[in-house]
Amino acid sequence: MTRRNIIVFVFLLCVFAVSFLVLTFDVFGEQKPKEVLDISFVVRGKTSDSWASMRQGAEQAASEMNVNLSFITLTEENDAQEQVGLFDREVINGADAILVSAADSEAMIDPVKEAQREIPVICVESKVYDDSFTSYISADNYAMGRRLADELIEQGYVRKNIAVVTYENDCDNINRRKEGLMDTLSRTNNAVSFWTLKSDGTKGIRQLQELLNQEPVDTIVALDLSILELAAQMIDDNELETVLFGIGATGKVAYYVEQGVISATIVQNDFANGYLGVQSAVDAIMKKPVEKEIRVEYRLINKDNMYKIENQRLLFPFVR
Amino acid sequence: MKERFHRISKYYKKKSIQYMISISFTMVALVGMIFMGLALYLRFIDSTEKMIKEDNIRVIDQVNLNLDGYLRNMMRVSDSMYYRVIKNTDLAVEGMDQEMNLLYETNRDQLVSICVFSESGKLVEASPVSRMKKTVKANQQDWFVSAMNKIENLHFSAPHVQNLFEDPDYRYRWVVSLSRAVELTQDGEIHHGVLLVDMNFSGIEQLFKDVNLGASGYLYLMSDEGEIIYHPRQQLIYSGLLEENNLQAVNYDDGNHEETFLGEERLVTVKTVGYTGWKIVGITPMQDITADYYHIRSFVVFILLFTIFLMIFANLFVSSRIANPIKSLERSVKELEKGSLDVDIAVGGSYEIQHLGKTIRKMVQQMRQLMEDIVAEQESKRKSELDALQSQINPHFLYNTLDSIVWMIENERYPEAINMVTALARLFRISLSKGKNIISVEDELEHARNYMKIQQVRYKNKFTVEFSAQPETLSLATIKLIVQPLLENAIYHGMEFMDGDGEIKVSAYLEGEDLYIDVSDNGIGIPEEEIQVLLTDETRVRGKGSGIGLRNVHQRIQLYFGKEYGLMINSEPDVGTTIRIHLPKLSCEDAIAKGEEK
Repeated sequence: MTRRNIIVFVFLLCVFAVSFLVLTFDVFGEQKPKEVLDISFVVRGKTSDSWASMRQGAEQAASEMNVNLSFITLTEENDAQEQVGLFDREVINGADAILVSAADSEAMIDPVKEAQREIPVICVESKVYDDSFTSYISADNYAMGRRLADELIEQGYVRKNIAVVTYENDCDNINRRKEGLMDTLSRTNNAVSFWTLKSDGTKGIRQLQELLNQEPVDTIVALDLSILELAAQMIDDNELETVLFGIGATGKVAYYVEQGVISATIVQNDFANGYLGVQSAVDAIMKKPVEKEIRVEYRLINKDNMYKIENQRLLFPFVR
Repeated sequence: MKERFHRISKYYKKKSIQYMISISFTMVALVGMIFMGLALYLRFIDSTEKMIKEDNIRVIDQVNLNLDGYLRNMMRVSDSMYYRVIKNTDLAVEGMDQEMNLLYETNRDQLVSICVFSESGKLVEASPVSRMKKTVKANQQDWFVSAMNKIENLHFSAPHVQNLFEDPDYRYRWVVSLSRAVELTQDGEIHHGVLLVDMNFSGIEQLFKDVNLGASGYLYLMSDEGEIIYHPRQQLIYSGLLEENNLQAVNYDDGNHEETFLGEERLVTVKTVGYTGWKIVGITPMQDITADYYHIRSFVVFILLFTIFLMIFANLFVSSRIANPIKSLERSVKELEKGSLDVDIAVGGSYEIQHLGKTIRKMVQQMRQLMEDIVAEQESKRKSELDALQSQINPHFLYNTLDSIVWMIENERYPEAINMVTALARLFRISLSKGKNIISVEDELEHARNYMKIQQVRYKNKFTVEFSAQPETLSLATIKLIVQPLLENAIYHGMEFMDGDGEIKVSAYLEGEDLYIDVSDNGIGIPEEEIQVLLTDETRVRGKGSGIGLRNVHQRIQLYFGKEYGLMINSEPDVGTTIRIHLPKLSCEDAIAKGEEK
């Protein structure tokens, strides 16, 4: 064989040897083990119960998408300052994305904007006024407000005194609910007043009690979950006659609905909120297209329909 | 089609050996390898799929066993409660709470509650002890209704939230209800009622959780109508975020099926659970199975390419070992064709090729030899003919004869001069004889006579000459100028020392197919040693006289007629010499034809 042939032979032999090694040791070809993503979820509430469904949804998504999820609650309900602090801390600690349920839609604007420069920020259930976030996932708050108002009217609450109770903080979703509620209610001949609570828990109950004493209304509409809970507790404990409507659901709320303490509540699919929140975050990290606004479903729950199978599933998700 | 095949085979045949060997070998190897690779790969795929299917079935069978056990356990609780307790209890007299509590306690991990309701929905007994919710109407709930509808059977419900008892902790439980219609005895009277055993949903969940089918496969459980009872991503399905093909899967028989759902190919394994008619469905995405295929496929391809690569080189190597000696041999032969006989024939390679090479070499040598021989032969032929030609015009003889003629004329011996001139003329006519090589014996003898006439005059009759020829010989063929040189020889060597009684005889006669012409003289003879070299020695210088000598004659005869003919010398010192010319008996035409052959 000519010298040239020998050189070619040896060269090709080397090529084969290399590709053999590559094949056997799967240097390429094999899917690289997926990177674990660090995602933090900062909610605006303090008890785990109220956020249980959302947490479950988020954790389900986390287990499916190789995400290390940190679920963070506040020590005080809707404490915007604390939330800002925690939010910034998570960003500094190297989260790949942040999910946030804004306690205060004004106060969170800057942190969100800042963070959004580096990592995707997803607003779940409550957003900031500025549109700098990647995506906002929630039920249609305005529509929920309207639905609640419709139910009120359907149940025959016209020509009544209604108190709409919210917290002090400026939450976009609560505001939208109020809008929806009022757009319908204002067409009725109900007298509506607006109360704000400064705190929650027993303090909140006391505050509410006081407000009620000051202004004895027939109906209370609680636009936030924790207000609904404490209002229900107040009414039940004191065996008041006040009618209660609200938005939000937990086991406690379900109990009160069943007892008739709460006449109706609107529940949104928090599980979906959590799941879609994490999913969008992962998509955003992977540079895949993410919709700006994602809607989840909501249902009106009252004593009569709460055990219907579709409502059961929304009201009582499987708690692990 | 056939034409194309012809064209291909023609093309094929024209190509060199090395090309043919390489291509054929490579083709065969290629086809073989591809076949093998393909066969192995397909077998592999087949066996992998089979393995996975069997594996799936095994896993599902195991889960089925567990689930079946679990359900049977629950049914046993219900049965025990009914047959051992309820049937033996008269509610008016005693309670069932002790037994019920015991049953509950034994199974509390899997049970939420055991309760008995009357026909109207009133709670008769419950364990653990609880207070019913005020608003609940038990007899309107699904489990109650279906139990009452079919009294003989046990009824399993779909998972639902238990809506019966007060819970101060606001807990709600997901349960699967096992209900049956029972006969309650009160005061000896039979009333209808319902026995409800609420199983903790997490009990079922435990059986299915963490059961993996391959890399990303999973199991789910559905009712006989296709409603999902357990699914690892159940909440997502309820939220509408995920779709599952359960309604289709209800129609599948037990065993393995392949389906495409939402663009994904998957393997579906179904197993029906005993009493309930529920179905366990195992889903394995085909991707899990085929993930390895990529590897094996590339491996097979790699092996194929590698083997082909090796083959090609082995090919080249082997075929060049075979073909190269043949090629160099072929090249040498090409050189040979061009005409260069000095070519060095390449000998190498296998035994057969070497043998061929050696043989060709020998052939070339022989050819060279033959050609040299021919050249030599032609050369000597030409030389003799040249000599012969020259001999025709020997100047000395001519000068002397002309001198003699001039002398004779000067001396007014005119008749003698006329004779001389005439003889000379005749001599030269026959000498030249129009350039022919072959003349008749008659002419040759005539030529000799004329020569002798001249010589006799010149030698003043020192000798006599006698010519005799058989009549048959006269028309036969002979080469011209063979007798005259002999006579010349006889005169100069034999008659030199004779004084008038020299005798030269020339006779031509036939013996069989041979023609002889003898030239004899009674001279001093030729010594033995000289006779030997006379015809052969080339160094003999041309002697005086007109001829080139005996050697020339001898050679010319042999050249023309062959080695069996020629001159024979017989000599006895002081007695005489006879030189015999041996020729074949040929007519002139035949001889000329023979010459032309040559």
